Amino acid sequence: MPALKTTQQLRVLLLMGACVALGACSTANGPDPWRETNEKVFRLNEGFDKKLLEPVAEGYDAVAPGLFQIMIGNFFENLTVPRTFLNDLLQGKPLAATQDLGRLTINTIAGVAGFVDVASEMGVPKNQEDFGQTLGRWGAGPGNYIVLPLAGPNSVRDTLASPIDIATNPTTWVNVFGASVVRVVNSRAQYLEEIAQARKDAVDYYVFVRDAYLSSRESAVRDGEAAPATDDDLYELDEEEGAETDAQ
Amino acid sequence: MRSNHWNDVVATIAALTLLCASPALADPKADARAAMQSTIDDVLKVLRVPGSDTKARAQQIEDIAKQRFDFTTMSKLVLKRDWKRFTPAEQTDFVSEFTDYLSASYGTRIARYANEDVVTLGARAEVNNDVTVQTAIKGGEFDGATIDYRMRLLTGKWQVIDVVIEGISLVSNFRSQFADVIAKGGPQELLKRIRAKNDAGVVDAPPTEVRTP
Repeated sequence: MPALKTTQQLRVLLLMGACVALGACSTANGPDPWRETNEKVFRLNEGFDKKLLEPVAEGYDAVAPGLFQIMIGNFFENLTVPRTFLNDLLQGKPLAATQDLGRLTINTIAGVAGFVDVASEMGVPKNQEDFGQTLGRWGAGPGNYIVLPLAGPNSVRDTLASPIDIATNPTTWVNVFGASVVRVVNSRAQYLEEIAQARKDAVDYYVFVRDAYLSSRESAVRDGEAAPATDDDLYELDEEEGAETDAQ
Repeated sequence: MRSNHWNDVVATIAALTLLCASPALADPKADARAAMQSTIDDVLKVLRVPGSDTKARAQQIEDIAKQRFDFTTMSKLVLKRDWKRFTPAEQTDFVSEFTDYLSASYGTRIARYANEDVVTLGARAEVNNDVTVQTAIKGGEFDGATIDYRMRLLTGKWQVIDVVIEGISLVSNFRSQFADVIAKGGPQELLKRIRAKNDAGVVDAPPTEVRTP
């Protein structure tokens, strides 16, 4: 079985290489040409969340104090730091790599296996990197938007990168079902109010989630820096554009 | 000759003084940052009042937000090309409904962050003489989350024209949502939907559904 898994991962890697090399990941016709299928999967995911995950998370939230949830969240977050460290290196960020190695060491030892985020208290910046972001740094666009069953919003690039992210996250090394359940329920519990309100506020929740996912991923690729100048027409009033065209 | 020479010197000094003085007179980044800081301070003051209920808080935050946010510009940016498809009356309606919609949801969201602090990290100059004021949440579940305020000098006052939460721009997100609705049902359909959200009372409803066991 492990051999088969490796072959599958290798195949995905090769596909990914081709995708990046050809620039095939970028699309001209908007980010969501698979919308019809995506919306169906999205509704299924919403149904799963409303019927099972959200109620479970609400029950958990009722018994687990906020501080406890933060500590559980810290624990699982600490386990993603090796992945961040690796991707810091792949993106050529020695400073961030040093910070993250320091963070991992401090939180694992002084923070009791990561439950307490001592590093943040000490002012060590928190970075978050994964292989999808690394591919983005290397020039790969997000490609089409895709909603995966259970896993939810994704892009072609990030989906192709996920085998690497799974392989570099120690939580996936030990196949303990209970641990995954705790991780998912805990993180869902931390967003109960936010998701409930987003659902209520949104004029179109599907579009809200899609746009939020794609924007936050691209911002993560840029490490929160300003978007390239082409995006700045977001802030140009249409009437000004009209005036400019008239003048020419 | 002599007087001419003196005129030159005076003119040069005047020009240099102007050159040196102008950056000191107008530092957009510092001005925008100070403006936003005062708004954040006002909001934090409301959040720090012990014992006040979430609804009352949300209302106060809403009032503060209305002073600093330019909802007309935000409306135009959100609707972009569709703005011209709206009649003047529909435009007025939209600005008013969108103002209520946005400030209600902003107010409720922020009103929950009673134990969190907000730190201003810096300010960045943007095109069109805009300034982005960068802030982050300190403490609580969302420790480290970034909130950037895109600001523009409008009629002599630094006003917020977009809020970017963890890289997600409100203007961009609403534009995507609204463009679809307008394409399918026109301006009236969008107005109807936002009005329905406002009538349902985004701000008044409890944040999570209460489930009976």
